Amino acid sequence: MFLIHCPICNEPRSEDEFHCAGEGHIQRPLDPMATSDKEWGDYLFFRSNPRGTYRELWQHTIGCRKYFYIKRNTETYQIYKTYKLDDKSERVALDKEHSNKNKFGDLL
Amino acid sequence: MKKYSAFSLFKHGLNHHQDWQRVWRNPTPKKHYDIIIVGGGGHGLATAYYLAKEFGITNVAVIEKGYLGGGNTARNTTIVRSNYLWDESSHLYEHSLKLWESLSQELNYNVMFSQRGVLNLGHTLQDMRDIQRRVNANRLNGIDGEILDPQQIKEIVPYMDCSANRRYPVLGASWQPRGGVARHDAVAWGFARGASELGVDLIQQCQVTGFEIKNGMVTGVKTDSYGLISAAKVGCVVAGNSGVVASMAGLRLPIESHPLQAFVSEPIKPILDTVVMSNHVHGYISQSDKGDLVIGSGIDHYNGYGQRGSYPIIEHAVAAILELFPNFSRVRMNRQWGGIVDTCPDACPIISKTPIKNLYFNCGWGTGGFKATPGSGHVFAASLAKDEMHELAKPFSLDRFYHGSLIDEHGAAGVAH
Amino acid sequence: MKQINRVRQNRSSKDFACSRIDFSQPIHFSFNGKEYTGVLGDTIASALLANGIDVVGRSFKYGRPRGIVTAGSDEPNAILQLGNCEATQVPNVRATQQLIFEGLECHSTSGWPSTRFHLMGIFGALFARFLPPGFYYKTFMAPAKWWKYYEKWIRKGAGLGRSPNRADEDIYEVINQHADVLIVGAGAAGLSAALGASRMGARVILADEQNEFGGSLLSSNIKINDRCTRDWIDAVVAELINYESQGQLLLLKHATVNGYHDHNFLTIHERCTDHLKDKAAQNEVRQRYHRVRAKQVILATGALERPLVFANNDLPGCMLASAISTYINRYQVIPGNTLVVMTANDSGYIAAIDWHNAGRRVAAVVDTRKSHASELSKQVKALGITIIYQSAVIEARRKRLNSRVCSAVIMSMDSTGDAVKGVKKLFCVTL
Repeated sequence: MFLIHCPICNEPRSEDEFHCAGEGHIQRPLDPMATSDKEWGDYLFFRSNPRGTYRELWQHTIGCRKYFYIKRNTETYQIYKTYKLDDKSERVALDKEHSNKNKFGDLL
Repeated sequence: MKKYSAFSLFKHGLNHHQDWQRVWRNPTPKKHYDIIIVGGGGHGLATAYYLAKEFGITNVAVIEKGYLGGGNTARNTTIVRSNYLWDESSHLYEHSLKLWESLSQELNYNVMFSQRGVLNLGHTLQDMRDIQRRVNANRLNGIDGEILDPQQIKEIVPYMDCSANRRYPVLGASWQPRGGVARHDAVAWGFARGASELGVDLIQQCQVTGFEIKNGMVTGVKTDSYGLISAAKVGCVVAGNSGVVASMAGLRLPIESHPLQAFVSEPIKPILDTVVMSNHVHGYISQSDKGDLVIGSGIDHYNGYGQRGSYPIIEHAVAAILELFPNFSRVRMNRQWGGIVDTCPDACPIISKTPIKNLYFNCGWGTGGFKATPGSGHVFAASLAKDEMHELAKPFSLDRFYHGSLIDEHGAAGVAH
Repeated sequence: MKQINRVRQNRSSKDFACSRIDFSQPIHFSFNGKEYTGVLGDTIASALLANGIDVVGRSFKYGRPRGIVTAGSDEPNAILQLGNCEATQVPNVRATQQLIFEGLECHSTSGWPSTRFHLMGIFGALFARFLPPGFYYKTFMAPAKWWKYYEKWIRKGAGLGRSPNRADEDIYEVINQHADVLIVGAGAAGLSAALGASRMGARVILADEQNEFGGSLLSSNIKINDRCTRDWIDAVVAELINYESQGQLLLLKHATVNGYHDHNFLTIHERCTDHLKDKAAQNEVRQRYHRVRAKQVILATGALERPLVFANNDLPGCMLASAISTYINRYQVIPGNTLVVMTANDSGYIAAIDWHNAGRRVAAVVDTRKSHASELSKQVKALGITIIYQSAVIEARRKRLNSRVCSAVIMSMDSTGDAVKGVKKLFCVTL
């Protein structure tokens, strides 16, 4: 059972107080009506699903009920970090990760 | 292939079982194959078997990073049924169920497919409406199904608490008598034996590390133990690792990998002769021929490749089973383990070509892949052999996530995704 | 029935200084419908051995007779059905883990018409060679429609104990715990760790599956600072209880740590009343489940002895050497008359010494190693026990189908240990 540090409550709580809401940092298209079916499908359904480091959106459902992000390892289950939605420093790190993503990323 | 029978057992018994033929060969891979199957689980081995048997393509290799049947094939709770809601999926699962019914004879390997019936319980009025809708749909598709009331359920499962004063009273159930359970490791071994005999090379302890892709077309796979092995076509059947293997080809899939766990109790004398599933209390249970109660429950709600389940699910599974069977309270659990299931947003599989030519994927079976093993292998083999998706596989293409033609089977999947 | 294998000496005797049973409190229980007497502190296994019971169960497939092999949670054979009424039936209780209490009822989980004379055993003895491991994959396939009838018959043999068919009436509870240090196992290492951590002011939980703290020390005749192990354990536990009274330490007996989950989350299954009565009293908790989040975890679980491989090593009378020492030192029970020990290291010698000191005959110690002179082997020789070096037991023999082991076949090995030559037969009752 995970021990998750809620960045809003600022204390460690047990996994069963939380709910995972899927992959984090997925940008909703700004103008849904203008997107192609492919872009919309990609946004809705397609996920990176890596074995290793992963950023996820979680909610402290039995607690402050706020959403926040977890950066953790999907293989070892180690939690590297939890941070608030508006954490600026993580945004910079994230942009760097994205620029390193494999070149075929948009083949579909 | 030396045939297995009671007589062969007797004959080998006379000389102390010293000269049994090996169940499958352990070959060194060739440089080139017509078709390479990545993943030596039940689905991959079934694909290879049917390629050789039905379509005469024997220059085939199955590449497995661990050992045959070492993944979800031998980690599931072995339930086989076909009572799905929509036409597309029920046709596919029914195709599979028909193959199950003669599989032991087909493979000359007893997979112990035991049609002891599957109950899907309803605990609320909405459950019962859903059950009615599903059973009616099944019947229209020629699939056996009945709606039972608590009294009839009690006759089939005498020790289930069907009283009205439970927290989640049992109001009724759907009943598929042709459903049941099978011996899962035997399924992998039976297909492996059959495929190997027909000339398929089964390469174990060999991990695919990448694909050779030229001009948008796959031409081979890179492996850790044998380097590059070229192939005209590649089919990936890697379940929980689908996302990882897809990313080697630069693809993303509409799939998330979650841990799903299962449990068995210590062996007890037979007390439960059917499969009992409940979406509402969220647990399912049957009893094996050894006497273990085989129990399953929901998936972990987060992504994971750990092959172990999270703790809250354990408590939940036990609570669900005791809600149905309070008398099992003193039976002790023996083992608990996890697998990695590849869940799709609509709880239906993906059997599809990909944007890379000659690279095929068969994945997304989520929590219900075992029941589809022969059917999935059969339609995937047909698609690979003819370069055109099998009729039954067509609705399950990757494109459906762009067209919006999803096949929502969350209601019939039995395990919430 | 008399307790024929019990050594009736009281604790003041120096050979049984670490015994953990109390002769002043006889306890009556029944096994397979027959009344027996044990004493306070006995497990079902030690009480059955004291009463000279060999066959406690039957093997799953061939119906071979099986006796008690171990003295702990690793027991593969003595798996019993417990319970005085329908609602309190417990399947698959290991006789080596369950303490006896007044009025306890237990049964073997296999054997028809009885555990001693089992029809399947005859069938198994005749046809075993035609039913190798995995035979069911190779047969029962024709005609296809018949599988359900085959399976019906196969299923008759399934399972060990049986589930109760009535709902459980007892009360159970769950507690969340937090600890600086959780120590799994209260043997010498676990007790020392608990003491050290407590003295430093840490919040400690110490859990052990047995009914007393001490682990393997409970079975041993060795001395710690010239005092018997019992004195050392008592002193340490007394100090720990002092910390417990200050609320800093939690001592859990009868408590199996049964899960180690992510981020140091462990679960402990504590059996509060199972060793005392069939059914907990009203408003009394029968079992308790602790959900522990620990900062540090110490696994001090000790080791299990692995059985040696030879033909018929499953016959009643073949036991682990460590189990023999446990039954003699802890329960004052000698499970047989004449002993042959086979060993690959010095720990087997301890069993021989214990057996000899308890007053019964050791036929020989069979050692797979070449001749050597260790402290223990000198002690064994001084007692006049034969040591047969560079040899191995290759087979245990019995007189009748359902009887216990009566002799051991011994062969000497060549220098590589790969081949054997020469045959010698020794008569024994326990191996």
